[in-house]
Amino acid sequence: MVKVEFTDGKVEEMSPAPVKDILRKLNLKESTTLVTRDGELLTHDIYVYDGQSIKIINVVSGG
Amino acid sequence: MKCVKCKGDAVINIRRANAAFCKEHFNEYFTEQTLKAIKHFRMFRKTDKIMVCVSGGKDSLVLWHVLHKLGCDVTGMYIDLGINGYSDRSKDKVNSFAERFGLKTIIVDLREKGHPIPFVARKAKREDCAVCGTIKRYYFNKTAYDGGFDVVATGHNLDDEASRLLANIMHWDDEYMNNTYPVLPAGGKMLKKKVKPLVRLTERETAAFAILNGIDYVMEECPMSKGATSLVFKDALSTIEENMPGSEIFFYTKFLERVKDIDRSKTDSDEMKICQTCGMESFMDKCTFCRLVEKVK
Ligand code: SF4
Ligand SMILES: [Zn+2]
Ligand SMILES: [Zn+2]
Repeated sequence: MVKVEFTDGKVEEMSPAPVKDILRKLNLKESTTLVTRDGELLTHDIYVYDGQSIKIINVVSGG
Repeated sequence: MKCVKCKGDAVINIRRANAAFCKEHFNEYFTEQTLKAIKHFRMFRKTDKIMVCVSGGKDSLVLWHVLHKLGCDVTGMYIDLGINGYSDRSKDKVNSFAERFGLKTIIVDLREKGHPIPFVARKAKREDCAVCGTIKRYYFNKTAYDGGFDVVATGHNLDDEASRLLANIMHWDDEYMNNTYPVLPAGGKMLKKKVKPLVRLTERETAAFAILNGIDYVMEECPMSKGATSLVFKDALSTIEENMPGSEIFFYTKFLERVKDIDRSKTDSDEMKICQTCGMESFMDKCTFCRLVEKVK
């Protein structure tokens, strides 16, 4: 499984897939998020493998 | 995905520009877009003394960083709003950022001044954000004037500006619409010129710049911003942008072209008075800020 961490500390487990599909399953837009793995930014075509963890950063601020 | 410049591995794709970049070329793109805005709107000259309003969030820290790297004379100005927890954490980010790059800062502490936002709002029986707006505006203006700055820069990005424009159009708010511009001229004898150099870049791009360049920003939001209506407009715009990349910047820049000749120097110095309490320029004998904080004494 892939461990998905969110900015607010929540964690979810998901099946391995390209970043794009993971975002789609979570109902998140590409234009409002960034995804990192080991601190490195990932483009949406990158495949996330079993056992890896990624962070999803919401970039929208309310101000 | 490959970088459109060097064919190395890309770290970010930007759909509206039909491009993907490696770190090096993304930084180059980011700086170019900032410079393009600065030049196009004649924001400032190389020799101007710039005050950047910083909150500890991504946009303002990134702006500070970019202007510093461009060799500008820039000072970060932070207002400690006195919001327990959030203010302490955001101030820490500002201080450690400034220390790391050896940057000049001015910190205004509202707790020290005796008017932290939650306290004033409670006493004056007004919304936190309304009180915050008045107090922040006052200290931005006053600090810029006292410090002899030429220009005040803020980190507003394309999403902030386009969503605000959309909100103002929805309300047909002409006055605000006229002031939706990346440069507002100096006014009266004390108000400094205001500029927004990041208007050509999205929040996603400023966040990416922060992450790629190790800029540690405060990710949490001000607790008072919960349920802000600005988020509704941002959400609507991002849905449009997601389906039709490029719509947002088109919407915003076409608007700017239409309103570029409006005269925004609204404060004719003849009609300005001096606040009897604090000495800043005002439309009345006592400025809005002094009237507000007086209530809580
Ligand atoms: S959300 Fe927080 S920082 Fe923004 S105006 Fe409201 S109180 Fe001030
Ligand atoms: Zn490259
Ligand atoms: Zn006053």
